[in-house]
Amino acid sequence: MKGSFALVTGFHWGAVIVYVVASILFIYGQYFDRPAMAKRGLWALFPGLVLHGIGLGIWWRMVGHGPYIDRFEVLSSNAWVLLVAFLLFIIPYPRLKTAGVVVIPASFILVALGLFFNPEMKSLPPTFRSVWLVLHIIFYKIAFSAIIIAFAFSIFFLMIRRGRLAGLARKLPDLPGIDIYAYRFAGFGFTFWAIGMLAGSIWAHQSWGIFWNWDPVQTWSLVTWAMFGIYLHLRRFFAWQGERAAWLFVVCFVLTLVSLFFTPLFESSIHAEYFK
Amino acid sequence: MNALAKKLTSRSTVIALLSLITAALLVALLVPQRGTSGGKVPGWVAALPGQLRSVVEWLGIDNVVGSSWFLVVVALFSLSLMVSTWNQLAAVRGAARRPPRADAVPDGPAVEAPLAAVAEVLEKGGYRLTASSGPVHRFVKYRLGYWGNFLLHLGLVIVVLFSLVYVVTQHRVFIRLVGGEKTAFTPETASEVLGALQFRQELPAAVTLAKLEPAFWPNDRLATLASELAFSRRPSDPPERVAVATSDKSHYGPFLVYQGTVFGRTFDLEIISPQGGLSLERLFLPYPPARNRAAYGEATLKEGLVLKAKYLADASQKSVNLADPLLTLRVYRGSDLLGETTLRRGEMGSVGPLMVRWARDAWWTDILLDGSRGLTGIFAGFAVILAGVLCAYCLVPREVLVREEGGRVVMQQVVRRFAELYRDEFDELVAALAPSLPAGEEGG
Repeated sequence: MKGSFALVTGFHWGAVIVYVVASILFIYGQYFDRPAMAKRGLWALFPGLVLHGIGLGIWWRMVGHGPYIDRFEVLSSNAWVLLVAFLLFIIPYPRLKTAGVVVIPASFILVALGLFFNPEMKSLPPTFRSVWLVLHIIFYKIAFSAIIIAFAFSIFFLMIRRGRLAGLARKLPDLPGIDIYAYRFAGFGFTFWAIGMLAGSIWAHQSWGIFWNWDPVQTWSLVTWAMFGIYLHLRRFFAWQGERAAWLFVVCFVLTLVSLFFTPLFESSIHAEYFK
Repeated sequence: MNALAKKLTSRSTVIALLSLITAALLVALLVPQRGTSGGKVPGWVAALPGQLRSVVEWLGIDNVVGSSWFLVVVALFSLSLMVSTWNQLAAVRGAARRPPRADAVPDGPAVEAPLAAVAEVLEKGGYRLTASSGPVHRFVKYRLGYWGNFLLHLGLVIVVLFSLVYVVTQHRVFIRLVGGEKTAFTPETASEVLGALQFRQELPAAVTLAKLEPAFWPNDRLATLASELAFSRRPSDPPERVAVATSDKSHYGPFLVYQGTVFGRTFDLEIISPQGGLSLERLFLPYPPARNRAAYGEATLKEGLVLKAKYLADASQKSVNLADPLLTLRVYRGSDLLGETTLRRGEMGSVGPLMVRWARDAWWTDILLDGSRGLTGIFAGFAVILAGVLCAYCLVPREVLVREEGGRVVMQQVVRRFAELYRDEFDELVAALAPSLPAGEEGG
């Protein structure tokens, strides 16, 4: 299939509309205790993912490389991976479904934000050709998905503790349960972030002959990872839980956003081509 | 000794060291460092008054990752990791092998079923019998998970140790090559970065850039850059061909050979000055960024003259590939433009007071030779870390202790981390054994 901007943006806007409908159904079902409605919201994600996936596939074919560089493709693929990861995670952890009230709207916001950045066809720099780059990116996207889910549970904890989200609270585990979900997914995020960082250093070694060069993006990524390490260490060995753990996770989440979306804009970075 | 090891691995020491490293990295990110100013003292430090500057330099605020205190913190953290790894090994061996206490499972759901039937259901659920003590048996799902933390720590130790090997044996050589010219490895042509041990691999005698092939995307951006190099181990040896490209390194002797990403054309100019003297000037210009954009460079000549040059890869601007290059030269004295000319290959022209002939042009590029040791160990450490984090977070070990009591068994789930998340799994097992009773309500 020969692609065009109109086709790609058409598929993406189609996916955004489906995700919006899915969000409305799901959130309505969760808040007003209509499980059938919430279930329909989840099922509605599948056609959205198909449309979204086709749009990404056509774009991939048009630009000749994966979604690594342009803001549109990075945000769009992050949203797709987030939803797929969410749907996969709810198989072993059914109680995770409620996180959909954050995850599903976050997905369509990411796609819409990407579209507002005006998709640009960017060619791949010569150093962006390695299987390690693909692994590096995939693992960061998975880490980002797990971190969003952990963030959702941290926010649930903070709000429910303040007597808000009463409708949702019925669908969620009790407060200690919510806290544990946040802890668990922070652990997943930490794990995949570590793997992404290691794959990145192997890619750097292949491309530049050095596996670590204190590039701003690398260093921010290491700081973020260390912050997650501190969070997990405090939880495990200092019995941090509840309110203060949730607030610390919010700080970690902000650092994640800075690492993934702001530091690549620094000129001096070897990641300078990414997200410009 | 034991007290020191205990102190080093205490939760407070670990969190303090981790926080210090994180804070130091944040300082390195937020405060301009020497590394970002080519190893020179950054402007903000140079602008400080004398005493304050001395304090800043003594603290290494402008060179955090190279400062001695940061190295001490990292060394302490590494030591803590090593001791902790040893402790983890002892703990994991104990956890994997220890028999259950004979008086374990004082309460828990009870099911009216023989042990064999219980074992069968547990095995179907992925639980394997690992140890027994009289009537008490331990079934474990994901025994590999016990090793997670140990492997994670071991991997970090391996990475730290081999990074140290890399740092002390570092030998990186950067050399700029010009197409068709044999370049000897001398202090004038090659710059070396050596580690703390000043370890130096034996360099080849010379290298020649036999071929450079850039390829471009339709939008004129560089797609790939490939070189063919000819190394001579000794001056009299025949050359050995080595092909490299961006993201496609090669081996030569003890070195890994990398293609740099910068390249361009050299322009050899014969310059005749008004006094009649002939001189040769070589300009290294980068490659034009696009078919309609020139690359620029300049050289300082004798008598206060400055020669500024620009060139297009193709005079017709139809292609970014080198087709019909067009060189424009200007001569300045101070800010005064003395003259300008445009040349094609082999042409001569007058530029202000000078006559200039474009004698020759060739490709140039940078090549890196890395003879450092320890990289294989670092990457092996990465693999161990990966195995560790996957075991720790994806294979959380779940234990079910089963106590035989007459014709029935009493069961208890033991999960050291995220126990709440696996309660349903245990309830399902119990329900499978006692379908008539709701899980969790069976009395012990």
